[in-house]
Amino acid sequence: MKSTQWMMITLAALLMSSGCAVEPKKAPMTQEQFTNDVSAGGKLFSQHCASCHGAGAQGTTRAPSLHRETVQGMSDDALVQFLTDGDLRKGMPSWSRLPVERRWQLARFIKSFSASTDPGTKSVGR
Amino acid sequence: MPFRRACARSLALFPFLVFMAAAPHAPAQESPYFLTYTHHMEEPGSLEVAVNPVLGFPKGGASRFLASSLEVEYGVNGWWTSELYLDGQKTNRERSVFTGYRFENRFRLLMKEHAVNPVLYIEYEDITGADKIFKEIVGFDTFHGLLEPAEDLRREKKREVEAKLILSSNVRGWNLAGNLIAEKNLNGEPIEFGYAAGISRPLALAASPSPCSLCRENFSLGIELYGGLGEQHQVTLSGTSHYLAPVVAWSLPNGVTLRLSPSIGINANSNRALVRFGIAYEFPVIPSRTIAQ
Repeated sequence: MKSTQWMMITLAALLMSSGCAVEPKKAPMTQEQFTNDVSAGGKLFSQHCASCHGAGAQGTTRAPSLHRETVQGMSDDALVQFLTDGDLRKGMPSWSRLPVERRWQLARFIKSFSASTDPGTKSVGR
Repeated sequence: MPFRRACARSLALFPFLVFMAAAPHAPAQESPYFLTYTHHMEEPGSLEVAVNPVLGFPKGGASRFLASSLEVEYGVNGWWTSELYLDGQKTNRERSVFTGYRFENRFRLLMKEHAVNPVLYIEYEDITGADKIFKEIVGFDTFHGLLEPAEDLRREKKREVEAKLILSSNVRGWNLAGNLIAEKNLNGEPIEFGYAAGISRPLALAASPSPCSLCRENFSLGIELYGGLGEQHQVTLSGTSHYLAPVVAWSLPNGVTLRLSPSIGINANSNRALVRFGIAYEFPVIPSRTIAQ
Protein backbone atom coordinates (compact mmCIF):
# COMPACT_ATOMS: atom_id res chain seq x y z
CA MET A 1 0.00 0.00 0.00
CA LYS A 2 2.87 2.33 0.85
CA SER A 3 4.46 1.83 -2.57
CA THR A 4 1.16 2.81 -4.24
CA GLN A 5 1.07 6.01 -2.19
CA TRP A 6 4.66 6.85 -3.16
CA MET A 7 3.84 6.26 -6.83
CA MET A 8 0.86 8.62 -6.60
CA ILE A 9 2.94 11.33 -4.88
CA THR A 10 5.72 11.05 -7.50
CA LEU A 11 3.17 11.16 -10.30
CA ALA A 12 1.47 14.24 -8.83
CA ALA A 13 4.84 16.03 -8.47
CA LEU A 14 5.76 15.28 -12.09
CA LEU A 15 2.39 16.46 -13.38
CA MET A 16 2.58 19.69 -11.40
CA SER A 17 6.02 20.47 -12.80
CA SER A 18 4.62 20.15 -16.33
CA GLY A 19 3.26 23.69 -15.99
CA CYS A 20 6.73 25.25 -16.17
CA ALA A 21 7.53 26.55 -19.66
CA VAL A 22 10.97 25.98 -21.19
CA GLU A 23 12.99 28.97 -22.36
CA PRO A 24 15.22 28.57 -25.41
CA LYS A 25 18.87 29.47 -24.93
CA LYS A 26 21.09 31.68 -27.00
CA ALA A 27 24.87 32.02 -26.95
CA PRO A 28 27.06 34.83 -28.38
CA MET A 29 29.00 33.80 -31.48
CA THR A 30 31.58 34.89 -34.03
CA GLN A 31 30.80 35.74 -37.66
CA GLU A 32 32.35 32.44 -38.79
CA GLN A 33 30.20 30.47 -36.36
CA PHE A 34 27.18 32.41 -37.57
CA THR A 35 27.95 31.52 -41.22
CA ASN A 36 28.43 27.87 -40.27
CA ASP A 37 25.13 27.94 -38.38
CA VAL A 38 23.29 29.28 -41.42
CA SER A 39 24.79 26.49 -43.57
CA ALA A 40 23.95 23.86 -40.96
CA GLY A 41 20.46 25.35 -40.69
CA GLY A 42 20.09 24.95 -44.47
CA LYS A 43 20.98 21.29 -44.14
CA LEU A 44 18.49 20.81 -41.32
CA PHE A 45 15.84 22.67 -43.30
CA SER A 46 16.27 20.24 -46.22
CA GLN A 47 15.94 17.27 -43.87
CA HIS A 48 13.05 18.41 -41.71
CA CYS A 49 11.14 21.33 -43.23
CA ALA A 50 11.43 21.35 -47.02
CA SER A 51 8.86 18.60 -47.61
CA CYS A 52 6.13 20.88 -46.19
CA HIS A 53 7.42 24.42 -46.75
CA GLY A 54 9.05 23.73 -50.13
CA ALA A 55 12.72 23.47 -51.04
CA GLY A 56 12.99 27.26 -51.25
CA ALA A 57 10.70 27.82 -48.23
CA GLN A 58 8.32 29.55 -50.64
CA GLY A 59 5.32 27.68 -49.22
CA THR A 60 3.21 24.80 -50.49
CA THR A 61 -0.37 23.64 -50.16
CA ARG A 62 0.67 22.06 -46.83
CA ALA A 63 2.51 24.91 -45.15
CA PRO A 64 3.01 28.66 -45.64
CA SER A 65 5.97 30.56 -47.04
CA LEU A 66 8.69 31.41 -44.56
CA HIS A 67 9.56 34.56 -46.51
CA ARG A 68 6.44 36.27 -45.17
CA GLU A 69 6.77 39.33 -42.98
CA THR A 70 5.07 37.52 -40.08
CA VAL A 71 7.99 35.07 -40.00
CA GLN A 72 10.84 37.37 -40.97
CA GLY A 73 9.62 40.01 -38.56
CA MET A 74 9.77 37.66 -35.56
CA SER A 75 12.61 38.05 -33.09
CA ASP A 76 15.15 35.22 -33.10
CA ASP A 77 14.02 34.15 -29.64
CA ALA A 78 10.38 34.06 -30.69
CA LEU A 79 11.21 32.02 -33.78
CA VAL A 80 13.18 29.45 -31.77
CA GLN A 81 10.34 29.26 -29.26
CA PHE A 82 7.89 28.74 -32.13
CA LEU A 83 10.05 25.92 -33.53
CA THR A 84 10.16 24.42 -30.03
CA ASP A 85 6.40 24.55 -29.44
CA GLY A 86 5.13 24.19 -32.98
CA ASP A 87 1.47 24.91 -33.60
CA LEU A 88 0.11 21.43 -33.02
CA ARG A 89 -3.52 22.26 -33.69
CA LYS A 90 -2.66 23.75 -37.09
CA GLY A 91 -0.29 20.96 -38.16
CA MET A 92 3.09 22.57 -37.42
CA PRO A 93 5.00 19.92 -35.41
CA SER A 94 7.07 20.68 -32.35
CA TRP A 95 10.78 20.44 -33.16
CA SER A 96 11.79 20.03 -29.54
CA ARG A 97 13.16 16.64 -30.59
CA LEU A 98 16.04 18.58 -32.11
CA PRO A 99 18.52 19.93 -29.55
CA VAL A 100 18.09 23.67 -28.97
CA GLU A 101 21.41 24.30 -30.75
CA ARG A 102 19.91 22.91 -33.95
CA ARG A 103 16.73 24.92 -33.54
CA TRP A 104 18.90 28.04 -33.36
CA GLN A 105 20.68 26.96 -36.54
CA LEU A 106 17.32 26.53 -38.24
CA ALA A 107 16.15 29.94 -37.03
CA ARG A 108 19.32 31.64 -38.28
CA PHE A 109 18.87 30.00 -41.66
CA ILE A 110 15.21 31.04 -41.87
CA LYS A 111 16.03 34.62 -40.85
CA SER A 112 18.74 34.70 -43.53
CA PHE A 113 15.89 34.85 -46.08
CA SER A 114 15.49 38.52 -45.17
CA ALA A 115 18.56 39.22 -47.32
CA SER A 116 17.02 37.40 -50.30
CA THR A 117 15.29 39.61 -52.86
CA ASP A 118 13.56 36.86 -54.82
CA PRO A 119 12.22 34.11 -52.57
CA GLY A 120 11.03 32.05 -55.51
CA THR A 121 14.58 31.53 -56.79
CA LYS A 122 16.33 30.87 -53.49
CA SER A 123 17.65 27.34 -53.19
CA VAL A 124 18.58 25.79 -49.87
CA GLY A 125 20.28 22.82 -48.32
CA ARG A 126 22.75 20.49 -49.90
CA MET B 1 19.28 -25.40 -37.92
CA PRO B 2 15.81 -23.89 -38.64
CA PHE B 3 16.56 -21.24 -36.01
CA ARG B 4 19.71 -20.32 -37.91
CA ARG B 5 17.64 -20.07 -41.07
CA ALA B 6 15.28 -17.68 -39.31
CA CYS B 7 18.26 -15.57 -38.26
CA ALA B 8 19.55 -15.68 -41.83
CA ARG B 9 16.12 -14.57 -43.06
CA SER B 10 16.30 -11.68 -40.66
CA LEU B 11 19.72 -10.76 -42.01
CA ALA B 12 18.19 -10.81 -45.48
CA LEU B 13 16.63 -7.49 -44.50
CA PHE B 14 19.95 -5.86 -45.25
CA PRO B 15 19.28 -5.47 -49.00
CA PHE B 16 16.08 -3.63 -47.95
CA LEU B 17 18.26 -1.51 -45.72
CA VAL B 18 20.71 -0.78 -48.53
CA PHE B 19 17.76 0.16 -50.76
CA MET B 20 16.48 2.56 -48.13
CA ALA B 21 19.94 4.00 -47.59
CA ALA B 22 20.12 4.77 -51.29
CA ALA B 23 16.64 6.29 -51.40
CA PRO B 24 16.35 10.03 -51.69
CA HIS B 25 15.70 12.30 -48.69
CA ALA B 26 13.21 12.01 -45.83
CA PRO B 27 13.22 13.65 -42.43
CA ALA B 28 14.16 11.70 -39.32
CA GLN B 29 15.43 12.34 -35.84
CA GLU B 30 14.37 9.27 -34.01
CA SER B 31 14.55 8.51 -30.34
CA PRO B 32 16.97 5.65 -29.63
CA TYR B 33 14.55 3.96 -27.22
CA PHE B 34 12.86 0.67 -27.99
CA LEU B 35 10.35 0.57 -25.14
CA THR B 36 10.22 4.00 -23.59
CA TYR B 37 8.00 6.54 -25.29
CA THR B 38 8.74 10.25 -25.31
CA HIS B 39 6.47 13.21 -26.04
CA HIS B 40 7.82 13.51 -29.56
CA MET B 41 5.08 12.63 -32.03
CA GLU B 42 5.27 11.60 -35.65
CA GLU B 43 5.13 14.66 -37.92
CA PRO B 44 1.60 15.19 -39.32
CA GLY B 45 1.15 13.23 -42.56
CA SER B 46 4.43 11.30 -42.13
CA LEU B 47 4.51 7.54 -42.27
CA GLU B 48 7.24 5.50 -40.63
CA VAL B 49 7.76 1.80 -41.30
CA ALA B 50 10.05 -0.16 -38.99
CA VAL B 51 11.16 -3.73 -38.43
CA ASN B 52 12.24 -4.53 -34.87
CA PRO B 53 13.70 -8.01 -34.38
CA VAL B 54 14.39 -9.28 -30.84
CA LEU B 55 16.85 -12.08 -30.22
CA GLY B 56 16.03 -13.74 -26.88
CA PHE B 57 18.32 -15.68 -24.57
CA PRO B 58 16.05 -17.05 -21.84
CA LYS B 59 16.95 -18.87 -18.63
CA GLY B 60 15.88 -22.19 -17.16
CA GLY B 61 16.42 -24.26 -20.28
CA ALA B 62 13.91 -22.36 -22.42
CA SER B 63 14.86 -22.17 -26.09
CA ARG B 64 16.37 -19.15 -27.76
CA PHE B 65 14.00 -17.26 -30.02
CA LEU B 66 13.88 -14.62 -32.68
CA ALA B 67 10.76 -12.47 -32.55
CA SER B 68 9.99 -9.51 -34.73
CA SER B 69 7.41 -6.83 -35.23
CA LEU B 70 6.52 -4.82 -38.29
CA GLU B 71 5.55 -1.34 -37.16
CA VAL B 72 3.66 1.26 -39.16
CA GLU B 73 3.42 4.68 -37.53
CA TYR B 74 1.41 7.61 -38.86
CA GLY B 75 1.17 11.19 -37.72
CA VAL B 76 -2.58 11.91 -37.77
CA ASN B 77 -1.95 15.50 -36.70
CA GLY B 78 0.43 17.45 -34.52
CA TRP B 79 -0.83 15.97 -31.23
CA TRP B 80 -2.03 12.50 -32.30
CA THR B 81 0.05 9.57 -33.57
CA SER B 82 -1.28 6.11 -34.47
CA GLU B 83 0.66 2.87 -34.79
CA LEU B 84 -0.04 -0.66 -35.92
CA TYR B 85 2.23 -3.60 -35.02
CA LEU B 86 2.20 -7.07 -36.53
CA ASP B 87 4.13 -9.57 -34.41
CA GLY B 88 5.65 -12.97 -35.10
CA GLN B 89 8.32 -15.22 -33.68
CA LYS B 90 10.48 -18.28 -34.31
CA THR B 91 11.62 -20.35 -31.36
CA ASN B 92 14.52 -22.77 -31.72
CA ARG B 93 13.30 -26.19 -33.01
CA GLU B 94 9.73 -24.93 -33.43
CA ARG B 95 7.93 -23.46 -36.39
CA SER B 96 7.44 -19.74 -37.05
CA VAL B 97 4.19 -18.31 -35.75
CA PHE B 98 2.27 -15.09 -36.26
CA THR B 99 1.44 -13.93 -32.76
CA GLY B 100 -1.02 -11.09 -33.28
CA TYR B 101 -1.39 -7.37 -33.71
CA ARG B 102 -1.42 -4.21 -31.64
CA PHE B 103 -3.06 -0.89 -32.42
CA GLU B 104 -2.01 2.10 -30.40
CA ASN B 105 -2.72 5.81 -30.25
CA ARG B 106 -0.76 8.52 -28.50
CA PHE B 107 -2.24 11.87 -27.59
CA ARG B 108 -0.15 14.81 -26.52
CA LEU B 109 -2.01 16.49 -23.67
CA LEU B 110 -0.33 19.92 -23.66
CA MET B 111 -0.04 21.89 -26.89
CA LYS B 112 3.21 23.64 -25.96
CA GLU B 113 6.60 22.48 -24.74
CA HIS B 114 6.92 22.29 -20.95
CA ALA B 115 9.49 21.10 -18.44
CA VAL B 116 7.61 17.81 -18.29
CA ASN B 117 5.35 16.88 -21.18
CA PRO B 118 2.56 14.37 -20.59
CA VAL B 119 1.24 12.09 -23.32
CA LEU B 120 -1.65 9.62 -23.00
CA TYR B 121 -1.19 6.26 -24.69
CA ILE B 122 -4.04 3.82 -25.40
CA GLU B 123 -3.47 0.42 -26.99
CA TYR B 124 -5.60 -2.53 -27.94
CA GLU B 125 -3.77 -5.78 -28.58
CA ASP B 126 -4.98 -9.13 -29.82
CA ILE B 127 -2.03 -11.45 -29.35
CA THR B 128 -1.36 -14.99 -28.21
CA GLY B 129 0.71 -16.23 -25.29
CA ALA B 130 3.45 -17.06 -27.81
CA ASP B 131 4.17 -13.37 -28.45
CA LYS B 132 7.78 -12.67 -27.54
CA ILE B 133 8.27 -9.09 -28.62
CA PHE B 134 8.44 -7.93 -24.99
CA LYS B 135 7.22 -4.51 -25.99
CA GLU B 136 6.52 -3.96 -22.33
CA ILE B 137 7.04 -5.95 -19.15
CA VAL B 138 4.06 -5.87 -16.79
CA GLY B 139 2.76 -7.67 -13.73
CA PHE B 140 4.74 -10.76 -12.87
CA ASP B 141 6.12 -11.47 -16.38
CA THR B 142 9.19 -13.67 -15.85
CA PHE B 143 11.34 -16.12 -17.79
CA HIS B 144 9.07 -18.94 -16.56
CA GLY B 145 6.52 -17.82 -19.13
CA LEU B 146 8.83 -19.00 -21.92
CA LEU B 147 9.29 -22.55 -20.68
CA GLU B 148 6.20 -23.92 -22.49
CA PRO B 149 6.42 -24.73 -26.22
CA ALA B 150 5.28 -21.92 -28.52
CA GLU B 151 2.59 -24.20 -29.97
CA ASP B 152 0.94 -24.47 -26.53
CA LEU B 153 1.38 -20.79 -25.75
CA ARG B 154 -0.26 -19.96 -29.05
CA ARG B 155 -3.60 -21.29 -27.79
CA GLU B 156 -3.64 -18.69 -25.03
CA LYS B 157 -5.51 -15.63 -26.36
CA LYS B 158 -4.67 -12.24 -24.95
CA ARG B 159 -7.08 -9.48 -25.82
CA GLU B 160 -5.81 -6.61 -23.78
CA VAL B 161 -6.24 -2.91 -23.34
CA GLU B 162 -3.23 -0.99 -22.23
CA ALA B 163 -2.83 2.58 -21.05
CA LYS B 164 0.38 4.46 -20.45
CA LEU B 165 1.10 7.79 -18.95
CA ILE B 166 4.16 9.09 -20.76
CA LEU B 167 6.14 11.87 -19.11
CA SER B 168 9.04 13.28 -21.06
CA SER B 169 11.44 16.15 -20.75
CA ASN B 170 14.30 17.70 -22.72
CA VAL B 171 17.07 19.25 -20.64
CA ARG B 172 20.34 20.56 -22.12
CA GLY B 173 20.31 18.10 -24.99
CA TRP B 174 19.26 15.18 -22.80
CA ASN B 175 15.92 13.48 -23.08
CA LEU B 176 14.46 11.97 -19.94
CA ALA B 177 11.31 9.91 -20.23
CA GLY B 178 9.26 7.76 -17.90
CA ASN B 179 6.23 5.61 -18.73
CA LEU B 180 3.77 4.15 -16.25
CA ILE B 181 1.91 1.20 -17.73
CA ALA B 182 -1.45 -0.37 -16.82
CA GLU B 183 -2.59 -3.40 -18.80
CA LYS B 184 -5.94 -5.17 -18.52
CA ASN B 185 -6.70 -8.54 -20.04
CA LEU B 186 -10.32 -8.40 -21.20
CA ASN B 187 -10.84 -11.98 -20.03
CA GLY B 188 -11.23 -10.64 -16.53
CA GLU B 189 -7.72 -10.89 -15.11
CA PRO B 190 -6.52 -8.15 -12.75
CA ILE B 191 -4.87 -4.99 -14.05
CA GLU B 192 -1.11 -5.40 -14.35
CA PHE B 193 1.39 -2.60 -13.91
CA GLY B 194 4.81 -1.90 -15.34
CA TYR B 195 7.23 0.90 -16.08
CA ALA B 196 9.84 1.99 -18.57
CA ALA B 197 12.29 4.84 -18.20
CA GLY B 198 15.02 6.16 -20.41
CA ILE B 199 17.67 8.82 -20.74
CA SER B 200 19.41 9.66 -24.00
CA ARG B 201 21.43 12.31 -25.76
CA PRO B 202 22.81 12.93 -29.26
CA LEU B 203 26.61 12.75 -29.41
CA ALA B 204 26.71 16.28 -30.85
CA LEU B 205 24.07 18.91 -30.16
CA ALA B 206 24.72 21.23 -33.11
CA ALA B 207 24.60 20.12 -36.74
CA SER B 208 27.66 20.41 -38.95
CA PRO B 209 27.43 22.68 -42.01
CA SER B 210 28.02 19.91 -44.54
CA PRO B 211 26.02 16.75 -45.20
CA CYS B 212 27.38 13.69 -43.44
CA SER B 213 26.38 10.20 -42.43
CA LEU B 214 29.12 9.08 -40.05
CA CYS B 215 29.24 12.22 -37.95
CA ARG B 216 28.53 12.54 -34.25
CA GLU B 217 25.33 14.52 -34.70
CA ASN B 218 23.66 11.47 -36.28
CA PHE B 219 24.28 9.19 -33.29
CA SER B 220 22.31 9.09 -30.05
CA LEU B 221 23.22 7.08 -26.99
CA GLY B 222 21.08 6.25 -24.02
CA ILE B 223 19.97 3.72 -21.50
CA GLU B 224 16.58 2.23 -20.68
CA LEU B 225 15.29 0.54 -17.55
CA TYR B 226 12.04 -1.39 -17.64
CA GLY B 227 10.14 -4.00 -15.70
CA GLY B 228 6.98 -5.12 -13.94
CA LEU B 229 5.31 -3.57 -10.92
CA GLY B 230 2.93 -6.36 -9.95
CA GLU B 231 -0.82 -6.20 -10.33
CA GLN B 232 -3.98 -4.55 -9.04
CA HIS B 233 -4.09 -6.27 -5.64
CA GLN B 234 -0.33 -6.56 -5.21
CA VAL B 235 1.71 -3.59 -6.42
CA THR B 236 5.26 -4.69 -5.71
CA LEU B 237 8.72 -5.20 -7.13
CA SER B 238 8.97 -8.63 -5.54
CA GLY B 239 8.56 -11.48 -8.03
CA THR B 240 8.79 -9.17 -11.05
CA SER B 241 11.48 -8.99 -13.73
CA HIS B 242 13.59 -6.01 -14.72
CA TYR B 243 15.97 -5.12 -17.53
CA LEU B 244 18.69 -2.57 -18.13
CA ALA B 245 19.36 -1.74 -21.76
CA PRO B 246 21.97 0.52 -23.31
CA VAL B 247 20.65 1.92 -26.61
CA VAL B 248 22.32 3.42 -29.65
CA ALA B 249 20.66 4.97 -32.69
CA TRP B 250 22.16 6.09 -35.95
CA SER B 251 19.94 8.43 -37.96
CA LEU B 252 21.00 8.74 -41.57
CA PRO B 253 20.18 11.94 -43.44
CA ASN B 254 17.99 10.03 -45.91
CA GLY B 255 15.44 9.02 -43.28
CA VAL B 256 16.78 5.61 -42.28
CA THR B 257 17.38 4.99 -38.57
CA LEU B 258 19.26 1.98 -37.24
CA ARG B 259 19.03 1.06 -33.57
CA LEU B 260 20.60 -1.53 -31.34
CA SER B 261 19.98 -2.39 -27.71
CA PRO B 262 21.25 -5.37 -25.73
CA SER B 263 18.85 -5.64 -22.75
CA ILE B 264 20.34 -7.40 -19.77
CA GLY B 265 18.11 -9.09 -17.22
CA ILE B 266 19.01 -7.64 -13.83
CA ASN B 267 17.25 -9.94 -11.41
CA ALA B 268 16.56 -13.63 -10.92
CA ASN B 269 13.18 -13.49 -12.69
CA SER B 270 14.47 -11.82 -15.87
CA ASN B 271 15.54 -13.50 -19.06
CA ARG B 272 19.31 -13.55 -19.50
CA ALA B 273 19.31 -11.09 -22.41
CA LEU B 274 17.08 -9.63 -25.10
CA VAL B 275 19.04 -8.16 -27.98
CA ARG B 276 16.92 -5.70 -29.94
CA PHE B 277 17.59 -4.36 -33.42
CA GLY B 278 15.62 -1.73 -35.27
CA ILE B 279 15.50 -0.53 -38.85
CA ALA B 280 13.12 2.32 -39.55
CA TYR B 281 12.40 4.42 -42.59
CA GLU B 282 10.35 7.55 -42.46
CA PHE B 283 8.49 8.38 -45.63
CA PRO B 284 8.20 12.11 -46.11
CA VAL B 285 4.85 13.85 -46.03
CA ILE B 286 2.74 13.51 -49.16
CA PRO B 287 4.47 15.63 -51.81
CA SER B 288 2.81 18.98 -52.02
CA ARG B 289 2.35 21.53 -54.75
CA THR B 290 4.42 24.67 -54.55
CA ILE B 291 2.40 27.86 -54.27
CA ALA B 292 3.08 30.21 -57.15
CA GLN B 293 4.73 33.41 -56.02
